[in-house]
Amino acid sequence: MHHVLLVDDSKTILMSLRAVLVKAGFGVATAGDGVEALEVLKAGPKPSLIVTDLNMPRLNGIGFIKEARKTNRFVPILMLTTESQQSSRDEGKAAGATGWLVKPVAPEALISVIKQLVPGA
Amino acid sequence: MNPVRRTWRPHRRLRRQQAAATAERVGTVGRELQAVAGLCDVLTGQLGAVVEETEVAATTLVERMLMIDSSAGAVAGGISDLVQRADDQLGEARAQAGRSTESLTMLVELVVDFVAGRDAAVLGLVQEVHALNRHSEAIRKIAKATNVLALNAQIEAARAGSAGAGFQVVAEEVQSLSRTSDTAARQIGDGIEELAARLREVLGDGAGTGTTSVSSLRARMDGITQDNRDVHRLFDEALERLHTSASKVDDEASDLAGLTTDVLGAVQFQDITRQMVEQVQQALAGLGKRGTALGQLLDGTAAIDPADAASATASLDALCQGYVMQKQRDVHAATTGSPAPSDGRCSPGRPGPPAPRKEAPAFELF
Repeated sequence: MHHVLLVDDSKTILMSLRAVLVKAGFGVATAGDGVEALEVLKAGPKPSLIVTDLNMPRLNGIGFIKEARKTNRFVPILMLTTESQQSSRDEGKAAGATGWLVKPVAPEALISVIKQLVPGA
Repeated sequence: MNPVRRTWRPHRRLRRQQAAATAERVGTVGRELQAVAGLCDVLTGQLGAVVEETEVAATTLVERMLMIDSSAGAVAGGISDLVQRADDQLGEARAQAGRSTESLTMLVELVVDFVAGRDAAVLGLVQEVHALNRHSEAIRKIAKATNVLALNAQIEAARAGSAGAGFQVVAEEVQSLSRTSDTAARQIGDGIEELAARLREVLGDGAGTGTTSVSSLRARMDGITQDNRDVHRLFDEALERLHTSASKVDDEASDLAGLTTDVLGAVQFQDITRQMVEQVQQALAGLGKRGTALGQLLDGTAAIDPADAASATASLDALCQGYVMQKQRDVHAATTGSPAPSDGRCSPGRPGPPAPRKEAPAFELF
């Protein structure tokens, strides 16, 4: 089973997307912000893919990606955010994001992208 | 008295009155402006309650959808198990019916062979009985001949006179014997005919061929075998209908699972509206703070902080820069009449023609 780490400060997003991913056959770990997500990564196991929000308290998505990339160079990281502006995308890309999804994302689109990025998923 | 001085006094009084009125108005505005902060706090609190309520509603919705999904899965699983069990049981019943048909066919052959053998034996008996009848006929012929001989003997005895008296007695006895023999032979013949008739009845139709009873038996056995085959066919039809129904239930459960997934995805609206409301809450907080500062400036209780002295336009721009989604920028541009952002960034809040819009894709892999 492939594992996905979901990072978002919205309880609603964590609950709903967790349910969507579990229904699709993924194992799911969740974190409420970038700091908690780094702790989850440190505790292991290593996820097959990370989906993170941009605007979060304590440590936002860009900061989290920069930190996460120091130890997880090849794990695909998707930004999932309400923000769609190009400057933010460029910032995410520079930080090490693999892709950008704008909320609200259709569940089948999210699953399709994850399957595209995770071999064998 | 100086006339000029006399006319100046009313003007000075009027100015004092006007100044007092102005000061009162300024004081009123100042107090009202300071009250705006309280109003903004209340509105901010109310918006916070809206966010909380939508979050509770959204999480409840997710929980309920997961329960529905779980129930739908359980129903589909139950139907699948039911079909599997029905498959197994009906399959076994079908196999038993097949074995039963096979056994019955073998039994039919055995019974038919047995009955055919029995009929042949009875037919042989009938023929033998008929042969016995020929013997009784022969006895009757002998009895008739004996009777003729007895008559002749009686005639000869009468001719002999008294010398033939003894012979006459013997001739009469012989005649009596021939009658008794004829009667006995006829009774034997009747008994043989009756026995043959009963044997023919045993064979079925009295024709004595023995074929009809066998074909009748075979027809009845074939009927039972056909009934068995019909049961077999009914099992197959029942299984097919069950599979069709189960397939429909499975499709509907699958559709339901798809719908629950869509609803789970749609719950993202709460996060989006939460962020929009949080922006409004921040704007309200700034508005309250600005009202307080302006009110204090008006009533002279405090000097205005340079940070609070920013113009309303600057506040609008700051608000715009804090947006986290294109929808907010679009609403901002439509409301203020400022150019719509072309690259996702807010333009200064001054009126101008809308800039050409470049839609950023909702999904992009780098």
